[in-house]
Amino acid sequence: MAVEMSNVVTEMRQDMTDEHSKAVCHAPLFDGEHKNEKRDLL
Amino acid sequence: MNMNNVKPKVTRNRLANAKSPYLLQHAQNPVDWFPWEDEAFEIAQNENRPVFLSIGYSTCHWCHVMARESFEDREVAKLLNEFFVCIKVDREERPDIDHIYMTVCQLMTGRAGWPLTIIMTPDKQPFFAATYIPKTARFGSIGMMELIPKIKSLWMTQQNQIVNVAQQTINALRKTTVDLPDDDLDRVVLKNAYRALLDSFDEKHGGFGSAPKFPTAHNLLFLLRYWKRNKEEKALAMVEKTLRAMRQGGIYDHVGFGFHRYSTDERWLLPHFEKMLYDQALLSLAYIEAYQATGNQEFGDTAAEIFTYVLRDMTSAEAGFYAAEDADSEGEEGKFYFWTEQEINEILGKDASIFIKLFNINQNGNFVDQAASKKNRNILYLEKTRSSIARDFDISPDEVKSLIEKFRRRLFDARKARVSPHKDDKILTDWNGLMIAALAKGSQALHEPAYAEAAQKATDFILKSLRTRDGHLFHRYRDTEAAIPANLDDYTFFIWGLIELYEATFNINNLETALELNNTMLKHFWDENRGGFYFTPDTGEPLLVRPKQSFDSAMPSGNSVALLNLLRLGRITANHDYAEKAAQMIRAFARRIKQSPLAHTQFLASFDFALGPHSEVVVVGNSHAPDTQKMLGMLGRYFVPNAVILLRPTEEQSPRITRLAPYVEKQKTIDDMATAYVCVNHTCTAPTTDVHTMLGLLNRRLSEEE
Repeated sequence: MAVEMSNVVTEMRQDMTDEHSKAVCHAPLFDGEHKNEKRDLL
Repeated sequence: MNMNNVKPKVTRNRLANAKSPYLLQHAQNPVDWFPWEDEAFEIAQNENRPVFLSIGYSTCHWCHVMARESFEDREVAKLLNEFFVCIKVDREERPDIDHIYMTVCQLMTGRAGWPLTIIMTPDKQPFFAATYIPKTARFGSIGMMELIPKIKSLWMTQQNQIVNVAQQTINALRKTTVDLPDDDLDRVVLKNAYRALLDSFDEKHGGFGSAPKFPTAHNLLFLLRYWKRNKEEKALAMVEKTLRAMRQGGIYDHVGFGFHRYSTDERWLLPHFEKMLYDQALLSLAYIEAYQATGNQEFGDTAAEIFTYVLRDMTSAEAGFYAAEDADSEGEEGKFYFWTEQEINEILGKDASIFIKLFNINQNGNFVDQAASKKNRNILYLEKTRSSIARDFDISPDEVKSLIEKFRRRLFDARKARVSPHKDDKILTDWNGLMIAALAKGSQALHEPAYAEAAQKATDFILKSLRTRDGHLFHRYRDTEAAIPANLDDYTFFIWGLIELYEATFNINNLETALELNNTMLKHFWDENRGGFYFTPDTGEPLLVRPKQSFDSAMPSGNSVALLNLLRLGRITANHDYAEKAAQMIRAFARRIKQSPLAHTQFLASFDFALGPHSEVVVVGNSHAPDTQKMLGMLGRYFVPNAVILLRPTEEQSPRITRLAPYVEKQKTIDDMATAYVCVNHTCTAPTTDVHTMLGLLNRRLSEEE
């Protein structure tokens, strides 16, 4: 159920590189298929 | 809005009067930060300015990076101050706000973490979410210097569309809080959760899934119960493998003890270095239960080491437990914990070679540094268990333990000369509750009264300093100030601690307080329409949504723990209202749990108790007599998760336990000796004065009704 953002906002975003995805103190998400499980919850 | 009518740079902003260490870290930023308060939103409304919300915590490495790059930078601050009302939130002080906006970030980006960056309308409706943002475009991410002008331009020219996006976000957020229809749960869901854990189990390295790997102790607590119920040896094997791998890995501080927050790799080698109180609590609980289940001394020793760390480094003069230690020191992540081969040689001299071999020290460093700036650093980790090392060196496991301890002390002394990481010294009721539970359980399992004494002192401190006269709790204490109304986790985790502490000390005050707080929690957090507990009280600040969360994250959810508290208090006191509330909770969350059992392992550990069979063990005897102590001590030594333990002290004429649990009123000793009654549904077997007969009866009664 990801939010479908209008292009007004999506244009501000760029796809994160793998490097950027590491530049964060992670909050736990479920990995792989379980990440989907968590996202299904939302 | 007149964009020129803007205050210039500030030297001390409004965060200077905060108590939060995280907010104070930003009090001298040139950014004109507000704390989360009405005034900030009023200004945003009056001046039609969007709100830049930044959420983090004081021990978070990437929060420091963003602070250095952007929030301490005058160019970025100027842009922020010109256009936004800027608000800082300490996620540990306000988990309610953090939870809501982290959910927004997950919905909008599929990612979650800190620092959390949210841009929203003056009425708190988010339209942009991200985590760390560099000053200028990097890592494929837009930079603050480009982002702010873009947002400004869009706000000035296309505000209606931005408001539409915000509305879509709110709609999606609200859908996350919609209750699903009631359903029933049965033991099939336990099997489904077990299979999901089995599927994601890392056979090579232990743990579940791939990097980053979190300890998620509640997965292990669930598996231990699954093993106990189903005699499924693989469930226990997964627990043992994971606990050993984490204890041997770099995620463990081999010199000062305690666990770092998570591993960035699947091998448990390179951690994120912050040390959180809740991880120490939850992991020590997992090691204690594994010790109870297996008798493996290495698990018991690890729990004891964690307690050594917490009691040495994380305990305040008032006896509360501090929140966390920083990942960084001297501006560098992990610096306090790294060693070069040269340092090891200098400190250990002729003993260095064996240490270098044991802990895999390498002249060039033993891990791949993300920053690749320093190549000679090592993280201490063991590749083998104590027993395995003993075989290699042809010595006993105890000799290995002594040898490692000898080296450890020398490194520990040497490390004292280093600059210590910052300590977040606020005292949080919820995390303290977890630590109290762990210490109390550790005291029972390891037969160490000092742990229960520390837990009792922390409990007394919270009741004295974080409880109002009308019986409500506060969430945070720091610098003589208790503040912030308690959330669900504060109540449930502290009640959990009180129940464990009652079973460790049989101090009736702990049980009475647990019952009082449980009733307060039911009054202010319970959803009368659908069952389950909201995260915030009915008197709390209105936010975008009032979450009612069931799934477990790094910590178990408040509802998962509340379920077990209700069940245990219901068994102890024979209060059927509690049992009915628990049944209502299970029905309310059943559908969500069936959809995602892996996300609910603590809830399912609690459900395991609900499924039964469960037992009440009442020991009648003089509290101070050796035979009573022996009987109670043996009950704490073994893994019996679905039993509650009561003491009816004979040295008191009319003990208070008989008012809380009337069914113990008529229970007497045999020949003035400590006497145990093993009961199921408050119907008891013939009493016994023999400890082994008591344990046999308990095991039989817990298995005969399956």
